[in-house]
Formats: sequence, structure tokens, C-alpha cells
Amino acid sequence: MMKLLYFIGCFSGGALLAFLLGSFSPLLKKFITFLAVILGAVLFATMGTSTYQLSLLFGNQVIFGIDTLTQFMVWMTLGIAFIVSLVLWSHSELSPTFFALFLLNVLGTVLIFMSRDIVSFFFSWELMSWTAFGMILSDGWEKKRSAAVKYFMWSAAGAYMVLIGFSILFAATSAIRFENIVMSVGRVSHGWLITAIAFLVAGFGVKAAMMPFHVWAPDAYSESPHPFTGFFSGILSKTGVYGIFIAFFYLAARLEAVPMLRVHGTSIFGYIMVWIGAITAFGASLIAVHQEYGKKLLAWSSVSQLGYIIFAFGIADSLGMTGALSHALAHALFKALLFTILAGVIMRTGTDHMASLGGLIKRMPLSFIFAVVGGLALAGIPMTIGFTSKWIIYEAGINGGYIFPTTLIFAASTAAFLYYYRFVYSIFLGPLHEEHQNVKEVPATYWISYILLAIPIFYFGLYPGKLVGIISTILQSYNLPALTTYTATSVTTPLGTFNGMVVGLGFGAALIVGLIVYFIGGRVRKAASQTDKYLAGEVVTNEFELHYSVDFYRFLERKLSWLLKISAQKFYEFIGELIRFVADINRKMFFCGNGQAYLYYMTIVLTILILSIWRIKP
Amino acid sequence: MSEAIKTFFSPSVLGPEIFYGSSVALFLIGLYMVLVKKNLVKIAIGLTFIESGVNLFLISIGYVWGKTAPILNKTLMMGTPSKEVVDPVPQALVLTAIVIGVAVTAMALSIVIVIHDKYGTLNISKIKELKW
Amino acid sequence: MVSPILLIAIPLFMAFSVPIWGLISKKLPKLVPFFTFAITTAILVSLLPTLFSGQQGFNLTSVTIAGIKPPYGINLTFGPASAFFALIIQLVALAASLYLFEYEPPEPAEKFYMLFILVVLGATGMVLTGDIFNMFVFLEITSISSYALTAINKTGHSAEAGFKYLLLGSLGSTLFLLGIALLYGSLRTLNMAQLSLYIHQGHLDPKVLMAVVVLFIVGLGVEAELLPLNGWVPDAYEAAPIPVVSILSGVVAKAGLYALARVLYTIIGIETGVLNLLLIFGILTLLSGELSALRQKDIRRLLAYSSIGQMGLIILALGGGNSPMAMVGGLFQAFNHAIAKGLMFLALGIMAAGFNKWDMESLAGVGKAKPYTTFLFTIGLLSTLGLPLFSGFWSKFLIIFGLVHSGQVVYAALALIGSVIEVVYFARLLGYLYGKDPSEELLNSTLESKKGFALLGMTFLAAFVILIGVYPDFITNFILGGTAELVYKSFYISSILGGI
Repeated sequence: MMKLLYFIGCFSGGALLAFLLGSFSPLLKKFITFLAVILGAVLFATMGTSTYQLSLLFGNQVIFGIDTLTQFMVWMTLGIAFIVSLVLWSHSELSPTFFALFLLNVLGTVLIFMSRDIVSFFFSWELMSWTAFGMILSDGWEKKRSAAVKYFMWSAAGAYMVLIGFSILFAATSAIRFENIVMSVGRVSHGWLITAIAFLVAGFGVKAAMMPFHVWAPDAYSESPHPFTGFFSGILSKTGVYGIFIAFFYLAARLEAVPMLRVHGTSIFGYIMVWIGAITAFGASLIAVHQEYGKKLLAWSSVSQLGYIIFAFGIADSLGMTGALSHALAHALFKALLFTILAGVIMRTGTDHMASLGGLIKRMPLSFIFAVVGGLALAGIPMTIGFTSKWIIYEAGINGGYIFPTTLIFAASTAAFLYYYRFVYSIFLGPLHEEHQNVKEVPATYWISYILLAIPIFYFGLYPGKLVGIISTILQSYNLPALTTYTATSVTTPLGTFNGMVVGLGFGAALIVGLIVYFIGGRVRKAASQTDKYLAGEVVTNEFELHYSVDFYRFLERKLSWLLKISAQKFYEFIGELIRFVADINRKMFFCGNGQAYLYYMTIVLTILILSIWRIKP
Repeated sequence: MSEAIKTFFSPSVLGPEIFYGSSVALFLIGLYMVLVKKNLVKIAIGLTFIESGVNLFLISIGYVWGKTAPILNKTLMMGTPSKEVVDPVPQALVLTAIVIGVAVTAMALSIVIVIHDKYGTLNISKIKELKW
Repeated sequence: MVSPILLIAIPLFMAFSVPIWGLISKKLPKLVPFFTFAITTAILVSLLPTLFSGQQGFNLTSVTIAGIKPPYGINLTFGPASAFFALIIQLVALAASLYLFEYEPPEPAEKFYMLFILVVLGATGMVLTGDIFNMFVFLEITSISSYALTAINKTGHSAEAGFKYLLLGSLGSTLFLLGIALLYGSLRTLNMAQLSLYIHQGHLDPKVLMAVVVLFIVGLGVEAELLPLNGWVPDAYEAAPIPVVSILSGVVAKAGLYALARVLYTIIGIETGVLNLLLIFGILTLLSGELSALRQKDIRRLLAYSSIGQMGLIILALGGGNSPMAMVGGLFQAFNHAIAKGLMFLALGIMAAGFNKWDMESLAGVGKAKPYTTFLFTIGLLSTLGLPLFSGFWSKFLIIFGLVHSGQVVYAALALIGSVIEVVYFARLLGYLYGKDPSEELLNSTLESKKGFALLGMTFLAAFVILIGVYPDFITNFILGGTAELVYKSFYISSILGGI
């Protein structure tokens, strides 16, 4: 009880102090934030696995509990939060409000993972949502307006869908604790249960950027304050994943028994999610390939990676669950790394427009190396955590017999190579721009955070059994199917065994051979300067952008233009237009400004109601 | 003379419904004025008509045919007052309602003066600068 | 011995003594509203402990006037529901009266202060009275004073708004009176407990009963901002002086709401027909209000439409009366809305002080020019959106849960669609307030530090918003008692008429 209050007090008190004192000295706000995150982590470490009760509403107890899944998610959250608070040392330009909201946001996220009843869950959920909006707002606004409003609108819509789902469960079971809901879920009729699960999954799906609810995510990720984006895309989206997990665990299992709802050997929800996840992963990668801006590219990549997780959750056997949870961690790690690197690039050069960058390897070699590390993990190359998780997901897809969705997932991985190549090549390789001649390497806080993120990426890549072990403990504690045969370096799945260490070291050796060849051959290469352009006799005007990063994948774009035209965005814009139209009619009718018309309305209402008296049976 | 009037209005001729009927008529006339007339002053007068209609309705609820006003005097004291007077409560209510009605009318007319000053018109369809 | 009568008597005396204070010093009348409300708030707070002493955990006292016991005399009732609404009214009035310290009312100033006190007095009377005709009288005191206050600027706009308000308001209260006449004609009593008892015993023809319900809803709906009867709201909020607007939304609307709830729940009783009417009115009001606000540029009108939407939500919650949760949420929301909207309007007044432009473009960047005021405004805004750490979260949560619990899933979903629209326009508004750079004109307008007393009042309201947002049990007991008082007829009847 007290420990939980200390934990909450640590973050909220830190937020208050950062807000009040932050305007006096920039050092103070950074220090308070940093300290609060560390203190919070220490407090959390002392809490162990336990349950806490708080008397909040009508004397009812709201429950917060910590189990193995909570620990997994919270350590992930606090870890990335620590990275962000470290990086924030180099960002005095952010307002005290930002620091305060960041702490509240971390608190909200952690409380989501800890909450064990509807009230505290929804409270934490909304806290997490609006503080993220506040952070986007606090960091300048002018060009971010539509992104921020879109984010806030979608997250409200998602939260409200969750609320409806929860309230249906409450109305049917009269229980607010998750455990009590599970106990009496047998009393809920199938119709209501399906409605509730549909609302819950859709609501959580908004946060997890599931197609067709993904439209807010690329804009919001790319417009959020740069140091925070890693947390935003890496952790906040995981709350949606977590929500889907508990919705499935607590509720959907009961529907398994209904034959009508079973498709392909799994519940219909799982089947739908497999498809949605695969389409999200594939579609978002294709869009990511065509992005001009680095943050947009990574944002779309996030949507795509979340699609993998949803795909794996939908399969819902031992491989699927393990794959989903391990990819959740993997995505959080490498996306935080990539976004932090990009934040460093933006801090030094002031832009993430890839055509305006290039050749930064000469000025920021450290960033380049870690960008490669992040990219390896993103593309699922052996010896990184990305390989472990993606491999398990592939196996899950194959093992489950989902031929088409798995093909889409493979295709998405190929596309991931393409956009990752574009990302690294446009920013770090090629000729250096003149205005970036004096760019410096990122400050120490940045590269320390790179190293801190790279360690688990490699560790879990080389020792996949460690990760699978943690996840198996979690799944077993929830009585879910889990992978049980594993050593530190190898994991046995229904399809065979893979050894992360062997594959990783083999790949590493190949990489070193490649590097040696490159450096030996590199003696004869000659870097062209930015001004050397081969025009083949054609005279071009100044407006024509000749940079190699412009239209990087034009050939792909031509081939796929028909696919890219299918856009959920247009549908939502149509809905928006419709609502605006209705709103204007409503406004001009009921508030037309003529006092006499108001009296008419009153008389009409009175007449209708009086006439209807004879129809009302009291 | 008063005898003749009393006969004319006796229940055998018109019945107490005349009070209800005329209160409804007043109400409807007022409503018509309020809804159809464009002139602010006429609308204000319409409001007073509606109020009068409701007041008349309230009075007629308490009226008992053939009994006197609820004022305690010597003649009444002789018999049983409660059986010889009409219900006093509606009359008290109507007194209050009339006073309130006067206040509303006064308020309405004073606002009409300001509107006429500023807009130069009393046509309600032209007074719609505030809208939407 | 303090008595609830003082809550009405003191303001009445103070209101009409304003000119006398004015004779002593020109500055005194400015202070009169604040001291009046400070005294009445103190009295109210000192009376609160008596509410929670009875066997049921709460207590309802009937105060007779002039020694005639109910049902014959006029009585005041002081139960949790009345006290709760009285508290709402007093809190908002107190903050608004602090704002008056820095507000220069149109001449003659004494009249303004007098009317200001009278509005609050009328509203307090409405929530405290136990006699339905007396409620009508207080309703008229409130509404006539608010017509006058709306039109007090004597500009064309304010006169126009005042006239529209007057048209709807006076017709509405006439209909209310008609309803009272019907009730009296059938049941020969005006005491609310007695009426409730007779209706409960079935002495009233169901058709007459429904006619009365219709007349009451339409009559009181004008003050409670129900859909087709709320044409006056945006106009009045745009044209009236800012402290008056905060009173209109925080006090007058809440008194109308209380009257509606009291009449429909306690006197008529919960019946499916009535609840359905409330649900339909509520959802239409909510959606219409939020949709109208969507493309609004003038912040006052935007807040007015948002206020309509919030009132719709409260009415909707009252319609979910099958589940006490919705009802509790509704009363809670009434509190939150009064505090938050009062706070927002007062803060808006400071934001535009010495500047007098109210559209988003002109006020863009005010977050940098007047940070503290905008911060307070934001607290009110976030509370209205129903976000956690602010009191609005709990009420919205309870309303949605209660609605679904009483089986109205569709209404709950529609209400949430309205809330999403609300999020859109408030997010845009926040973007304007914080995201842009303030104009020269805005930077040169009156400094917020010159408005210390007004800020004090607003800080007081904001503290309530956050306190309840963090620890809702601070007030939930009160609301539970209020709900019980409104819903359990037998408790109300027996407390006033003695054992039955």
C-alpha cells in the first residue's frame, strides 16, 4: 500500500516539482526528471510481486497488482523512460511542462500495466493518452496542429471504445475487478460478450496502430518531440498490445467453445487479427518505403512492426504468444534506438528530410554504427533481438498454416530491408552536404543511451533462450501455451531448434569478412562531391531536385501506385466532411438567430409532446 | 342589474367552463401574437396575453360557483367560513403571478427600447446579428 | 442557531441595501457581493455536518416559515440534494464575486451588483424550497434578474440576446406555472412532499400527470438548456458580461437542472416514459451542442455550445435513472460542469481583459502572454473533457457506466461520439492558445498580475477541480446522499410530513 503510494508520489511529485521549479533553471527540470525515473525504478524493484489496494471511489477498493507480465512490461517502460530522461539532458529547449507531462505519462503507462480493475485501468489509460497530447502541444505547434488533433481525437475514440467494452462487461457481471469479471463471465450472453470484445479490441487496436485505425500514428509519431518519439512509438503503442493481450486472456478464451465462432482452428477474433496484422505489416512497410522524411519513415515502420505483433497474437498458440511478447520488447528497443539516433541527427542538422541529409558518416560515425545496429534488429538479422522475435513469428505463421498472411509478413520484411536501406543510405552515406560540414557528433548522453539500448539488443539476439525463458514464465503464470524447451542460446519450437549464438556468430563472421573486403576494395573508390552530377547532356533547371535521395524508390512507386491509392485516410476525411456538413445544418437551424423561430421550436416541441401523451402508457 | 348578469352567467346558461374556455382562448391568442407578429412590442403584449390566460386558468381552478371572495368579515364569521368562500390559495398565487408578469413586461419593454435605439427597427426577423 | 433561511434572507437584505452602501462610499458596492456570498458560503458549510447524522447516513431537515407547518405553510428543505446544489451555486458565485473586484460594470453599478446578488439568491431559493409555487417565484426572480444582467451592457447585441432570453424564459416559466396550476387543480396542494405522496397514491389521472411532466420539462428546459429551447444560450453567453456568463452557466443552469430533477424524480417519480423523454432530450441536446461548437471561432460561443453539450450529458444521465450510478454521475457532472465552466469563463474574461476580442485568432498565443490564466483555463478545459487528474473524469466515467448499466448502450455510445467531437474542438482551441505567438495587441493588453483577486477566485475553483480529480471520495458521499434524496420519495415525504 505505502510502496505504491510512494511510487505514484515519486512520479507525480517529480512532475509537480519539474513544472514549478523548471522555469527557474533548466538544469533543475532535467535533474528532477532523471532522478524521478531512477527513484521510480528503484521503488519498483523493491515492490516485487504483490497486490495493492487503494480506496478511491465510493470507498471501493481499486486494485493494483504486479505479476510477471507486469514486471516485464514495466521494466521495459522504465528502461526506455530512463533512456529518454538521459537523452533529455541535452534538450534544455523543451518546456518544464514537457518534463512534467513526461513523468505523468510514464506513471500512467506503468499504472496501466499494474491495474487490476476497470476503474484504475481506464484512469491510467486516459492519463497516458492526454499527457502524450500535452507533450506534442508543449513543443511548438504551428505545423503539428493536424497531427496532434488527429492523435487526440483517435486516442479519445479508442479510449471510449474501451470504456464501452468495459461498461458492457460491468453491466453484465456487476464486477469491476478483472478477476471477478473472469469468474462471472460465464453469465454474460454470447452477443454481449462478442460486442464487448469487439469494442475492447478495436479500442486497444487504435493505440496499437492496427489498420484501419492507424491513420493517426505516423503523423503523431513524426510530430512528437524528438527525444520522446522513441518512448511514444516503442512503449505507448505496447499498452494497446497489452490491452489486446488481457482482453484475449480474460475474455476471448470463453468463446473458444462456441463452434460457430471458430475459424481455422482458432477463434474468429484470432483469425481476423491474423489478417489485420498481416495487412498492417505489409501495407505500412510499403508506405514507409516511399517516405521523404526520416521520422515519417520510422513511424510507418512502427505501424508495420506493430502489425507483426498483432499477427502473432492472433495465432495465439505457444509460438504466437511468445513471438508477440518478444517482438514487443524487440520493437521497443530498436525503435527507441533508431528514433533516438534520428533525434540526434535532427538536433545536429535541424532536419529529418532525407534529401537534405547525407554523408553524415564522416561527421557522426558513432550514430552511423548504432543506426546499423538498430537497422539489423529492425530487419531481423541474426545476432540481434529482432532475429529472435521475427523468427519465432515466422515459425508461428508457418506452424499455424496461415499461408497467405505469412507470405504478406515475409513480404513486409523484404520491404523493411528496402526502407531501412533508404534510411541509412540517405542520411549517413553518400556525399556530405556543404551546410553540414561542421556538424559535430552527438553529445555523450546520446551515445551512452545508444550503448545502453544496443546491449539488450545483442544479448537477447545471442541468447534467445533467456528471452524465451522470461516469456515462458509469464505465459505459464497465465496458464497459456508456452515454449518450454530452451537453453540459454537455443530454443526448441514445434518446427525444430534454432541456436541464436551459432547463427549470430556465423553472421557476425560473414559481416566482418564483408567489411574487410570493403576496406581493401575501398582504396580504389572515389567519393563524388555533391556538385558532381552526371546529366547526360540534359540541361536541368534549378527547381529540379537531383539529389539521389529524391524518389529513391521510384521504380517501386510506379509498380505499386495502384496499391498505394487505397487509403483509409480518404474514408475518414469523407466522414469528417459529412460530420461538418451535419454540424453546419444543425447550427444554422437550431441557432438561427431569430428569436421567433426559437419560440416556434418551443411550441412545436410542446405540441408534439402534448399530443403524444395519449400514446404514452405511464 | 347584477342579478341579470348573475343569471346570464349561471351554470344553466354557460357553465363554469366559460372561464376555462376563455383562459385557453387568451393563451392561444397570445401564442398567435408571439408566433406570428413581427413587431417586438406586439410580441411583448402577446406574452402578457399568455400570462393572463394562465392566471385566469389558475383563478378558475379555485373558483367555486356562487361563493364569495375569501375575505374574512363579520357576515362570514357568523357561518362556517370554509363553506362560503372560494379557495383562497389560487388567488394568492395569481396576485404573485400578476406582479411577476408586470416585471417581465416591464423588462421586455425596456429591452425593446434599447433595441429600437440600436437597431432602428422593431421587426424581430431583422434583429439577428447574433447567430450560429 | 444558523438556519438555512439565512441563505436566502441575508442576500435579500444585502441586495437591496447595495444603494445604501453606495451612499457611504463609491467603492463599497463592489465588495458587497463577495461579502454576501462569503457569509452565505460560511453558513452553508457550517450546516453541512447536520446532513450526515441520521440513521440512513444522511438527514433531511424541513424548515418552516412563519410557524405554519407543512403541508400548509411554505417550508424550506435542507437535505443532501438541496445542500449539494446550494454548494455548487455558492462556490461559483463566490469565485465570480471575487472577479467583480476587478470588473468595471456598466453604470449604474449598484444595479449590477444588486441583480447579481438577486440571481444567486433566486437560484439558492429554488434549490432550497419545499413548495412548488415558491419554486416558481424563485425561478422568476432568477430569470428576470438574468434577463436584466444579460442586457445590462445596453449595446445592441446584449439587448438582442436579452430579448431572446426573455422571450423563451418567460414563455417557459409561464408553462411551468401552467403545470403547477394543473397539479393544484387536481390535488389541491402545493407542498412538494404532499404532491409526491398524492401522486404516489395514484390520486392523479395519468394523462394529467404526463401533461404536467411535459409542461415541466418544456418550462424548465429553457433554464436547463434543452435542445430546441436553448437558442438563447450562445447569444446570451456572447453578449453578457463575463462574470454574468459564469453565473448563467454555473448557477442559473444548475438551478434549472435541480428544479427539473426535483420535480421529475421526487414529485412525479421515475417512470419509463419520463426517463425516455429525458434520454431523448439529453442525447439530442448533447449532439447538437457539440456539433455546433465544432466550427465555432468565437471562444465565448464555443464554450456556450460546449455548455449545452454538457447539460445534455447531465440530462442524459438523469434519464438513466434506472441505475443509481448514472444519476450519481449526473449530479457529479453538474458539480464539475458548474465549477469547470465557471472557471473557464472567468479565465477567458482575464485572457481577453483590456483587449475585448474573443475569437481564436485574436487570442492565439495567450498562453505565452498570460500563462497563469491560461493554465487555469486549461484545467477547466481538461476537466470538461473528462480526463483523469481532473474531476470531470469521474463523472463522465460514472455516467457512461451507469447508462450502460441501465441498459442504454446506444445512448452511451452516442454520448461518447459527442465527446470525441468535443475533444476535436477543444484540442484545436488548446492549439491556438498555446501554439502560436501572441500578437502585439495581446501582449499590450491588461496584465494578468493586475487581476489578483479574480485569479484568487479562479485558483480556488481550480483547486476544487484537481482535489476532486485526485480524490473523488472527497465529495461522493454528498452526491450519494443527494441522489438518494432525489430518488427515494418515501424518505423525502416522511422527512417533511412526519411518519406515514
